[in-house]
Amino acid sequence: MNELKRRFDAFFHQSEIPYGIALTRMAISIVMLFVMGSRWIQVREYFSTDGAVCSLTVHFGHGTLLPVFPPEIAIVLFTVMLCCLFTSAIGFMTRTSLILTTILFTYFCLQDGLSTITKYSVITTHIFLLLSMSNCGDVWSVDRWLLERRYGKNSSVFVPSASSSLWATRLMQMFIGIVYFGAAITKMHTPSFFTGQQLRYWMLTNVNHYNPVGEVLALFPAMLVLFGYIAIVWEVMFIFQCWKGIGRILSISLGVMFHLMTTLTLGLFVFPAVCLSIYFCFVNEADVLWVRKQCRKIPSLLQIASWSKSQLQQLGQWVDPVISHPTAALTAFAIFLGSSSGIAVAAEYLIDPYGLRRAEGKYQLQPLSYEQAHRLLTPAKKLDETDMLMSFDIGKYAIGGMVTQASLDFHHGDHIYCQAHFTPPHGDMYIECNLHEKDGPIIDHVDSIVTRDGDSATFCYDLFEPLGTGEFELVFKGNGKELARKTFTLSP
Amino acid sequence: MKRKLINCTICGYLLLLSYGIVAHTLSLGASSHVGMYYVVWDMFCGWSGYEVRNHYIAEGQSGQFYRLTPRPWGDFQPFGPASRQDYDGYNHHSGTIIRNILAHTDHEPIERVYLVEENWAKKYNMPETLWNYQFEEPKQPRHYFSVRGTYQENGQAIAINSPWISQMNYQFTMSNPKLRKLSVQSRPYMQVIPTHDKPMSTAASTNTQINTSR
Repeated sequence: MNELKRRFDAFFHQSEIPYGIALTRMAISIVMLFVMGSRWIQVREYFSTDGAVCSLTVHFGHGTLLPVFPPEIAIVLFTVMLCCLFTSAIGFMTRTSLILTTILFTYFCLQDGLSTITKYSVITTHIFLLLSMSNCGDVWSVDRWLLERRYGKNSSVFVPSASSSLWATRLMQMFIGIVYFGAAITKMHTPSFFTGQQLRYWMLTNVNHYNPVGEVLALFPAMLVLFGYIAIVWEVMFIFQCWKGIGRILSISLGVMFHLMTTLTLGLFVFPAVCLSIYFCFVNEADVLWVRKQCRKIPSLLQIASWSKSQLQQLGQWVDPVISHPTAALTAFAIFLGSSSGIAVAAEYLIDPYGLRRAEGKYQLQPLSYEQAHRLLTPAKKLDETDMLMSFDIGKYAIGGMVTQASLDFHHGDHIYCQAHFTPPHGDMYIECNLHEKDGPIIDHVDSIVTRDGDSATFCYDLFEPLGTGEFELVFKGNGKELARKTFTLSP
Repeated sequence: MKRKLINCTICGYLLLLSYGIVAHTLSLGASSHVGMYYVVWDMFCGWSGYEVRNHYIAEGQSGQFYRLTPRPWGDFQPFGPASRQDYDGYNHHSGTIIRNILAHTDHEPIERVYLVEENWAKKYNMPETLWNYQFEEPKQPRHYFSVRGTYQENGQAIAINSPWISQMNYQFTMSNPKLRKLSVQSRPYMQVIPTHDKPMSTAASTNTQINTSR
């Protein structure tokens, strides 16, 4: 028991300068400042009584659990949150800023279940909560700088050591590991993840930003299956491997790659930015010393550092008379929040998001022609067979059950795989795959049934010498209708 | 004392996260409360093969139809090319959205508002060059429209239909004549669906809706 307690203390209560979470504080606050800042103009509509509040609590059957405020109050609270994100980033009144940020950020995210809360905002809420309990403002912050200006850098009586217990950092590191572990469980719950089908749909989904690499990868399901397995193994292993040595380097490097790839393949920007911001909590004292040592070797960086120091020294001379007062920081913080909120309420009134005070009057609804309305309101009764087919691939190899289409040139003696993937929903289908000479009659015919829960069908042909040479076609049919055709060349 | 409090916080927090993992793994109350959203990590859990967009269409007393979305004062696309209403997959907030748009625009009296769901297969999201690599057939996307719900001017639901994908699933399953017969026999004419929507003009605590989903 004592050994367990000793290990627990050694892990959570190890003392270190909190460089890692200071970096996390700065990075995540800046990211969220942009994310939430882009929603400022929507506050009246999304978060106030004069709009359409779509609270997440409704999704869970609780109705609107949290109070909805009048627009002016909502704007003030939202602006206070943005100001606190800014002060958290620079480390001014750090703990107060982070506590206010945690409360207001959670409130606003819960109030907009459609366009504000996502899993990245939930992850961010956890991080803000842990940051507000940590000593992340003890280093690389305006608070630290003010303290040192006021009492002198070497006054150990008034300026506490920046070193502190690592428990909040450890919780943050464990949190990200648990999130990955949970994400792996989700994938295990999704059988079509392992067939590459889910990944294909993700890559082709257009609800996120532009994702050109994802669209290309969607053509190669075998590669997606491979990436899928790598991702799930990494997600499960992360929490066990991220602590030291080669495991730490590998887990974090793979994580950085994984998140950057989600930008290219899925069009995600904020999610990777949030996760990469959290990765900074893995930075320790030794890492910072190593980076400092490397930077000292670069003369231009030394010049920038000495210039910054002199600028800070000059700025310090300006603020010294003010910061000698014990409540100076609190007063400045209150003035900053108050004036920003006042300006925000006035600005929002002038912007008039609904256009109610326009010279032309309220906005008019856009009329729809009868033809357009008829098109939209006429229900589609039947799903076309062509849309049930996701893809039709042919190739010599199959990896992870997925046919890879490297080339459309084949030789006598080759085995050729033909694979059709189906998009659910579809009914039970009678399918055929027919081999034709180019624009000629059927040479060979294979058929099968795909039941309504089937997502693919694979056929195999042997390309024997008697077929001759030239161009051939494989025609895929579903319920008697031609759905796809592939032309290939056969040579000796 | 401070150390004890910190140790309790550490243990409590880790227990909470572990509870989320266990609930999610065993599907045990994983969505029983809004708090679970904060401890269950079900990101990207199952994506459909169809892209979905929601359109709100209003029918005026004169018979003229109007487009409610994109909102007349400017669209907001939070995460990409989809608008806010497109993320309302479970149709929880249609009434609120309708009320807000109608309250802030100039229009004739409105008879009905329709929520129209538009679906198309995601394979048509491929750019032309990739399509030509994958398919020999020309790219001819089909868009399927379906009325998801009908509402009064005050946002009160009159009829709610299943999502189009569910309708298609149902159609394929009901191609079995035995199931079709059993379904028709057990189908109620009227159905009461309690919701949290506060009716604008009545004091009733539930909404009575004619079930047209089947």
